[in-house]
Amino acid sequence: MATESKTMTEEKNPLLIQIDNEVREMTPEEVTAYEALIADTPTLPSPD
Amino acid sequence: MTYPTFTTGQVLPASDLNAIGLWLVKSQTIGNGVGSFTVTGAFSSDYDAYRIVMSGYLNTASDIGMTMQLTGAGGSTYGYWTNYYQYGAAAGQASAAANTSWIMGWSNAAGGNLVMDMVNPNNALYTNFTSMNSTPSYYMNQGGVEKSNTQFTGFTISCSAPFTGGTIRIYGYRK
Repeated sequence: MATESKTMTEEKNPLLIQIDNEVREMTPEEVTAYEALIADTPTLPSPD
Repeated sequence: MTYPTFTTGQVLPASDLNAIGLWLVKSQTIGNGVGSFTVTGAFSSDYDAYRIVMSGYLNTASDIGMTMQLTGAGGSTYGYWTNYYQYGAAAGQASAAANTSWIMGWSNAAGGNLVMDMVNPNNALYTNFTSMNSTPSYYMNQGGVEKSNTQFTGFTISCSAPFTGGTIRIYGYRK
């Protein structure tokens, strides 16, 4: 059964990126790159 | 030679120092709430091979793949294979032949540890890795290759379950 994604009306936490010791919000380009990286990331089955 | 012990103020012989096999290159705290973190200056011509240790890392959820992308290689040049073993139960695998990153480990909401070896990241050769880690429900091991012959100096680790802490250390194996 497909899991519904969050609607646009729900408030989303900003995506953070860390480069060395600096933590900040991702730029739009970094968000695009991050979402592409995690798009096909596997998730393991729920344990028995 | 036997492992040397040193005392404060002792003159350190070159023969002892030159026998040190692993040298800490960089240590970095993983920030709270980051979906992605980058380590710069990790690799250089000083070493051909590296050990990377993620100690006590935490995510907002467990058992989600963590990706690693070498800085400057965003094309479909990564191949990897990951095996996962549920304690006392089933096992499985996942792999990709022409990906834009590796799956190098798995997220852990209970506090995880990961050990990775990487060979030739800063040489104009293929870069290879092996790694292993465990979560509350699984043990996993991974391996793979990056085939661009690029000389890399850093990497980025990302996960859809953001990190909430931990430490990453990079050690160089003495040539």
